Amino acid sequence: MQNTVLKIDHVTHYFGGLRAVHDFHMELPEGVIWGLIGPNGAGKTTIFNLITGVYIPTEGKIYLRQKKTNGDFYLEDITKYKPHTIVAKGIARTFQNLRVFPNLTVLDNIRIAGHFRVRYGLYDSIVRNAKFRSEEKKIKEEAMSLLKMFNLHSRAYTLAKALPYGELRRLEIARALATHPTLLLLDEPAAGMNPKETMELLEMIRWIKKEFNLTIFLIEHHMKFVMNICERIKVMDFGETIAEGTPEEVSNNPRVIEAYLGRKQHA
Amino acid sequence: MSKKKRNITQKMIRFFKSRNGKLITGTFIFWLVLYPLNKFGILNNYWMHVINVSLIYIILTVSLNLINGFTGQFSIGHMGFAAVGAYTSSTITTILFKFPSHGFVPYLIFIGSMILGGIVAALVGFLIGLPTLRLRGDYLAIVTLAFGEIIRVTFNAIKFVGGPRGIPGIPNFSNFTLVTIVTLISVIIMRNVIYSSIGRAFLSIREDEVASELVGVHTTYYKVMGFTIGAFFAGVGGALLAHLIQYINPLQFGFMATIYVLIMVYIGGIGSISGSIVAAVGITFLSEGLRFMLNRIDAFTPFRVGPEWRMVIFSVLLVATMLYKTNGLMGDKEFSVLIPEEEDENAKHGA
Ligand SMILES: Nc1ncnc2c1ncn2[C@@H]1O[C@H](COP(=O)(O)OP(=O)(O)OP(=O)(O)O)[C@@H](O)[C@H]1O
Ligand SMILES: [Mg+2]
Repeated sequence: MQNTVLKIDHVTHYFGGLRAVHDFHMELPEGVIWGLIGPNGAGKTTIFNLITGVYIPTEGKIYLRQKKTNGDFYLEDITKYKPHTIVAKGIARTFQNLRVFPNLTVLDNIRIAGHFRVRYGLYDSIVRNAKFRSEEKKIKEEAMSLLKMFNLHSRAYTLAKALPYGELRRLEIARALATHPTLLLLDEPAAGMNPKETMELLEMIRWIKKEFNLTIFLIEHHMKFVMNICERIKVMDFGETIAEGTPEEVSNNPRVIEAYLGRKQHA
Repeated sequence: MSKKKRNITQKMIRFFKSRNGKLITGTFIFWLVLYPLNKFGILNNYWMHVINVSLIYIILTVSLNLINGFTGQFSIGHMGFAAVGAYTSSTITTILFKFPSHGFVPYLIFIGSMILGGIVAALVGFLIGLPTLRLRGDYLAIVTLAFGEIIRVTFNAIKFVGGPRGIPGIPNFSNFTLVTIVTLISVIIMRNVIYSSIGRAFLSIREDEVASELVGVHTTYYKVMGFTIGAFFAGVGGALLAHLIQYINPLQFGFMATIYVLIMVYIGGIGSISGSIVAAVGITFLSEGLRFMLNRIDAFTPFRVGPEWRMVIFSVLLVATMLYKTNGLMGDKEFSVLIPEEEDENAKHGA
């Protein structure tokens, strides 16, 4: 497919004897928002960890679209790349349990992201030459303008650990965007939010998708949220893909209803 | 002509008002007060020696803090790198050349040997760090502990550098002026690295290594870099120390010596250059004071306490600091002169 941004090619992953993901296949087209749902322990976060290089899949391959120098696109095999390389190639993510840098300022949280774009080295930072100063200025300005977009600029010099939960969530998304991604992975972005915050988040995701020209793939438990924002949804249970389709199709699928409702009542 | 002059004056005023200007001027005044005091015999050579030792310990402590405090790793073989620096430089100045400690050329060669000591230490650090720091967890502690021992055994076994007897008669190159200058430069360099995107990468690794990697930091690369820079300055510190004490042997750089520096790092505050400076000076002086006191107790009371009891006292002090101030005396705060101006608003404003 010409406009596939990410291709997950029949990926299987084992943790020791536990098969966390089985034969997961997906071709994510450019510019969409797709969702991944499933009960606890279904293997959703593992999929994200496989995409971002935290784990290398036991079987299968993962491809990311890259641009050639002549402007053509091709799919590059990123299966065995280190996470920082994959970030540099254009995938950014957030975490299910917030993982901002707690003892650093909000500004530094942002400045660290996209570190690989910094064009000065050890020598420049020791002697503090013009190159160092102009790069630092640029990094800071860029970080500040990003913070402004997320209405966090007044917090720039606050330690991240001092932020309230809602702002932390925004900071984590802003930090992901600071790496200049083409594909953004959000792991349960609405977790712990009240209905009002959830609605605001919906708006924000739509807005950043447009503003930063992104493709988005997100995990969420919150059904209404997923139904509202995702064009297509994949459903997992015990590592298997049990359904796939538009929100309507998925929500009427008996296997999904069983996996979700059936289990919930037992729990 | 006069316009040019005014420009220079303005530049000078700006320099003296800047943080770096204040830092350098402050150090110069420190030197200007102590140097004549010693020359005119008011401050005796013994105390001058203690001051020099404390300055060298600033280098050793800040460089270990770079690894353990700023990058969040746990090295316990720091004095092993100091040993490498000390032996490298002393071999050149004492065994190969037999220099007197005066004259321009011998000094230049000493400074060269000191830098070489740093480079060799850094190289060894790199070779140890590269395989070890790829792994997450406590491997570094185990490997650096072993490294410290290996270094000791190695120097013990090499006849050329004196074996267990070590190298006596090292020329006294580390005078107050030189030690002050080298300490100042070392601190400024490490400070500049810390306040750059490289330093931010170090900090992010300390905060959350996985998240750091996942926002694009090549964590292995930066861990090795931090470790190598720390080893370099440990080597420089070791070279200075050798040419101050004028005698080195393998035992001086053992595990206990590293513990001593570790205590300084943790009492001062992990992630604080200022804390390391305060602790290095404070504990060096305290150590001398305690030596004196313990000797008195040993001589005039029934208690048999040798100078080795100092370590017990420092350990108690460390535990007390941890209980009272978990993050050390300074936490991760800095004296403002040590924070580059451009980072001002970022400052974790200190004392
Ligand atoms: N590092 C690991 N080692 C061993 N088992 C793991 C590891 N990570 C995840 N698992 C297991 O793999 C399975 C899938 O976990 P995963 O975190 O992907 O689930 P999830 O769908 O994200 O669930 P949740 O909705 O609770 O976040 C679970 O059984 C989990 O216990
Ligand atoms: Mg999960």
